[in-house]
Amino acid sequence: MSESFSRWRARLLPGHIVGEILSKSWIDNAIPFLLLLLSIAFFSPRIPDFFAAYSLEDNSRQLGELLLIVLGETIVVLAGGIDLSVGATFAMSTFASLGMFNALGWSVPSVMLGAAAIGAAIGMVNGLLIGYLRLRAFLTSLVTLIIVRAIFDALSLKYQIAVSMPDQKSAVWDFLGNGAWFGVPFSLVLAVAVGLLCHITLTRLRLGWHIQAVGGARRSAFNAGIPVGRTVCSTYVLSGVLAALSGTLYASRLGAAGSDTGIGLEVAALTAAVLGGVSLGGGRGSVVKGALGAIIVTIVQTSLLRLGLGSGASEMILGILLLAAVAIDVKWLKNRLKVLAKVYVSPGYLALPAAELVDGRSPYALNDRLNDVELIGLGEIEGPEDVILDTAGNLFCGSRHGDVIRFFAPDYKQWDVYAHIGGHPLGHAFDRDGNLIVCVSGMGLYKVTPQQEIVKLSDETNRSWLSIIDDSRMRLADDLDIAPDGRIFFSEATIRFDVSEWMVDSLEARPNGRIICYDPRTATTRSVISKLLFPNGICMTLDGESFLFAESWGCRITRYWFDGPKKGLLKVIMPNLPGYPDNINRSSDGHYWCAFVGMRAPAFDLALRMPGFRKRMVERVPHDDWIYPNMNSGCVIKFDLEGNVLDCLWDRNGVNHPMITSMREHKGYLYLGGSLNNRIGRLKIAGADPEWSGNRSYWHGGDA
Amino acid sequence: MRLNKVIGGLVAVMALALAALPAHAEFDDGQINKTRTLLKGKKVGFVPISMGFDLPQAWYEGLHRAAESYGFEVVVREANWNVQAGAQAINQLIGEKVDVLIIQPPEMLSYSRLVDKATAAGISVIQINLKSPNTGDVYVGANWTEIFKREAEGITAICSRDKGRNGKIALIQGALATSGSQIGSQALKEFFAARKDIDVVADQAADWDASKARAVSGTILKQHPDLCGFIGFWEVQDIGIAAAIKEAGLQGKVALVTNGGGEQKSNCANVANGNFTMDVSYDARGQARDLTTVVESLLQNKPTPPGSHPIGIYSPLTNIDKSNAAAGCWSLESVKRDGP
Amino acid sequence: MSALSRFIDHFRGSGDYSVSVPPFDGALRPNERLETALAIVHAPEPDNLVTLADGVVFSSADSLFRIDFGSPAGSHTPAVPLHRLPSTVTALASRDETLAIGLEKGGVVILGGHHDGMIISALDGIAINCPTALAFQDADALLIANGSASHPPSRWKSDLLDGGASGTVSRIDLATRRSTRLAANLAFPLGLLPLGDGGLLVSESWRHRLVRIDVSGQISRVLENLPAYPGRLAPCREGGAWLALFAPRRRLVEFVLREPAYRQRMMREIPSEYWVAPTLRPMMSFLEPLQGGMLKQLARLKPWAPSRSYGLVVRLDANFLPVESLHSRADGCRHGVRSVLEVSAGLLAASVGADAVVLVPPPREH
Repeated sequence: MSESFSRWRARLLPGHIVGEILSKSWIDNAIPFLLLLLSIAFFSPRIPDFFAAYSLEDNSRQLGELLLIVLGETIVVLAGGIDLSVGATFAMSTFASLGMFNALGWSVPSVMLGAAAIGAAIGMVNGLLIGYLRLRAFLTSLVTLIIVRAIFDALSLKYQIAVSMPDQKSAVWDFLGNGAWFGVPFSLVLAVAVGLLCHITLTRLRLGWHIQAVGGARRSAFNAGIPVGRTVCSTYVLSGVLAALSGTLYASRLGAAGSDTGIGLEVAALTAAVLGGVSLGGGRGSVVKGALGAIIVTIVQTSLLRLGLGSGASEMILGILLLAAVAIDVKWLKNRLKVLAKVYVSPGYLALPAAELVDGRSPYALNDRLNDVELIGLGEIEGPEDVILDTAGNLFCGSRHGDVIRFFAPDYKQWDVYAHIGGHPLGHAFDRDGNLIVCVSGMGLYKVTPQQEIVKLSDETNRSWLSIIDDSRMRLADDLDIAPDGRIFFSEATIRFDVSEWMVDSLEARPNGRIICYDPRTATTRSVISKLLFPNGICMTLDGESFLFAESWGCRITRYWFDGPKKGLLKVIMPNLPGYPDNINRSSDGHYWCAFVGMRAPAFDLALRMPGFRKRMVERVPHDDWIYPNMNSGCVIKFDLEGNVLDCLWDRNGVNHPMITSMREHKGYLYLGGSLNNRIGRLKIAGADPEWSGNRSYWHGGDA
Repeated sequence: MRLNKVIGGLVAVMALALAALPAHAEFDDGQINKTRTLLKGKKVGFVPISMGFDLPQAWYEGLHRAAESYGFEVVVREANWNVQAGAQAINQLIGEKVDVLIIQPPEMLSYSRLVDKATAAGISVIQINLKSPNTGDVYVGANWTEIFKREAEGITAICSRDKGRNGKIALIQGALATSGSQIGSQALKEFFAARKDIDVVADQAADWDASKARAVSGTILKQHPDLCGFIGFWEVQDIGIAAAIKEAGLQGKVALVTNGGGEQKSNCANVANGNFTMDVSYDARGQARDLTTVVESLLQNKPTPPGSHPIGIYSPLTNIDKSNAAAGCWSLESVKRDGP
Repeated sequence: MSALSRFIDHFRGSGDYSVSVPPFDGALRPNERLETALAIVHAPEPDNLVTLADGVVFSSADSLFRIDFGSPAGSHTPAVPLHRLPSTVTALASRDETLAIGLEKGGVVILGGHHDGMIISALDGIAINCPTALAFQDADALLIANGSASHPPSRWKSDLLDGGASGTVSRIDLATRRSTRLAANLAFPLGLLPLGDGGLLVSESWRHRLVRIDVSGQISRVLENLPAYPGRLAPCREGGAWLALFAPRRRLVEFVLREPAYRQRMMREIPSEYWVAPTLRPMMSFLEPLQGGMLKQLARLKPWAPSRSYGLVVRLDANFLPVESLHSRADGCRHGVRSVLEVSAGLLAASVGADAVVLVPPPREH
């Protein structure tokens, strides 16, 4: 009763989505976005005109001016600094713009240029001191703030009246501060344009990468040859220019530069940056983050004013928000990967049919048939998951270092690196022309020509619409086989885990895998069968119209017709294996070999039917202590298409082959591989055809 | 005074009588119904510098009592000493389409565009006690030139060399951008430029802040220990000057003239105890009455278009010194209790 | 308040609800001294090493054997069969010529000495269904530890998984046959060591600690938070005691102990050899549960793998703090040491995992 509840709950609630969303890179923006939605939800019912046109236009105008300053501040903080002088720059620019326009009578573009020049000058002072002389950013910009403020106070004492008396009327000037295009104020338009420019610079241009590098790790950036001083100086100059630009807009809007202009602006800009998720330590942030923070600050400020709360309420609430934002930011940064690790593994419900018995009478009876293996490459090879032999008898296998290793016939004592591809080469097959086709986990499907040239066949398939994970990429291409017409069918064991963590997929027990087809005639790749429980070995049947595939965690072998009258039919031929099937290959007597990478154990099978238990285990018990399928024992079986087990070979004590992932018959011998092993086993099979080889069987190829 | 009291008493009696009658049985004297209809449901926006001191509190008392009795709404959005915030509040009120907007601009020019914007949006603008160069519809408040002329005369009467003193005085201005301060500074400059018997030895600004005033005047007293008097720009700020004088042990020897709203504690009490020599009062309570009157007038008789006929209602001034300090002021508690 | 702190612990997974286990560190730093020791005798499931007269007696299934130390060290010393009992021997104590023997099917039998042939099947009307440890306090006073009121000694796994705490320690006067209960509600007392001052040291297995019962009956905790389940105690020549720990504590088992639904289904549907529980033998069948760290890499089991069996013997000093330890690590076979005994040639340890009694020479003085 509670088990069917678990089953339905696992089916209906897609718990794995939480982990997949958390692993996306844009998740960092989710928190400020949530904050934004929260603040809108909080204030809009309390303020009747929240969405009215005039209110939006008003707020957007404020936002535009604040956004310019926040953009500058974001860039400075991204580079690891802090600019406290923006308020004074803003005031100075307001005053100067008014002076230039009113008292000196300049044209609007000249006024903007002049103000920008003043902002750049102040920024340059900051930049020289902080970037080149390596003074502390906080103190230096604070001192700049005080000095520029004092200059502003002195100038405004003398010239305020002169500067504020309007000497000329200009529609362009008025438009700067008060104009709007279709209800969107000019300041916002300008800010968005500048924001786009900044975003492109930060993400696509070299200067932006330098800024983020300097912010992330200043010493490493220096060692890498990035001109740190110049980069930092440029961020301060940029911040000064943007603050000055904002000041000009403000001057046009208000027409006066009172003594309290720009006071507290640096705090508002910093609050906006931190609220948006820009890290004060540097290296982490973006234009979007700064913009989100600026929107939140604007909404909070204007709404609190609108609500008519008493003196100081707005500052206090913003201060509390800032505190909360910093706390959440720090905690999130520290714990994101931890949370992700805990949340990502999302166990599902899997009820396997009762396993076939492994006892004296069953075809799976324990024996010591694998005790007499000869060992190839003991201690020299690491991770030979699959082995194959060519027409000359040379043995090929993959290694965890990313190599395809070739052992030379006839004694297999010498070896060389046949090809270095990368990843961990898993399944191997020879095609009609003697090319070695390899599934490389972490990379995709590759081909190695007889001239040892490496060609990438496929590393991308069609993306399924409903998957949050980008499943167009292949994470764990496992085994492959080649159809008579040259089509290559290969399995991708799981889309949720990499080769280093493939065992965790067993804990999940979700149908995360699929079988993909690559057609070399058209060079297209398409997923053929999806939602499989760790599809692993693939082997073409002798009729050329179907193939067998193993589902490891599903403990079954299925036959799929890809051609002929039964095309598209799926038939499970062995539903209740007592172990986890891995690679399947042909045997010399017209049947098939299959390797069991591990054996089923009752405690684990029970755990598969209790997803809550596994979920809690993943959360509370460390990784190494998790209950796993028993992969310290394995065997090799020979079976036929009716599902009868014809033979079974064990390494009972797991001395040489505790985990067998693949076996290959070649000329009377069986070669065994294990993906965690450091040796290949070679066993003589009594009564096997000494001339039979895979190449002959597939392509009727002769021997060299 | 007494006439006021009699009228007040009559009004109270009439109000009681009217209240005793059933509401719908109000006698139509030919006007009251029209007034009520015109005033009901209107919206008045009030943007003071801050509700934290006596002047706006007194003005608000008058407004909200009238609002309650006639059924119109008064919305207060204080600027909290922040020009930006005040501008935002005014923008919001313009957007909310209030009928009358009362503003107290902290700086001479900061709100001048907004006054034009409100007028263009069809809103009547009243500026209270401080004004931008453009009036809007009505200015209710003091004539600052007149105030400072009185202060200058007052200090000259005490400190003039013709009167046997040394003629040294210091000016402690408020925030330079405030219209009151600018006008005052201008007026004083003109007044003293012509005279030979007074020297302005120091001219500083205290930003309406009492502690700053204290610091600044303390320095001045150290520089000019034989200073005859101070001209202060606002009674609330100039408490600081009085404290500095006391600290220097020169109480009674250094004169201090200032101006203010005439509230008992800030004005008359300080004159009575010798902190201020003279305090020019513009009677904020009377201003409250004037403001309410103007608001009701504008709501009933809106000028079309707004701003076409600006008028000025200047407050009468009283010099408060020791002779009339006893009864020359109003108290904030009584205004809050009974209205202005 | 304690209810609130328990709830917070339950929510956070801390305190009693944490699945953490103290590491093998300090005096318990792993070594190979048990694994490299010399096997003296091979016998199935050896246990209960005691001295009798000049020799050493141990039990193996339902028989008692004597080891002769006359032959020189290093040679394969045969074990001489002594007695045959009706069921498996689960506890053993000796004094002079007398042997007290606890049996799997219940009850205690006395062989030799004054009370030869006495059978004690109940104490104060309560049956001795699970005799786990015996000790003579003097010639007539026998201490009997009954591990659990609901399970016999061979079903100790069930008692652990059920959270059993129904063990008792009693003293019976063999002359008068009167018994007094010294302690109750113990979690599987498996070791008894009478102390010189009349007190008694008891190893409480499922609570992974040693407690001390003194003359007045007061129970005090002596050594807590052991990283393994404590078994039998033996006296140490230098003062203190030798403690055998028969199985390690693993975080997965601790976790399963806190998962009632899974635990009950497991106990109902799966044979006990294949439970997620500590064992005495290294893993033999693939039907036993495997933990991630136990996966063989390059065909080798890592010594620090989280195996469900382990060989551990600890020497405690006079304050009952660990000072020395002997290990057989996860990749070894000398696991499941329930009983040790100090002899002149060194330390004898009975390892169920290796089906052998081994002799560890004393550490060489440098």
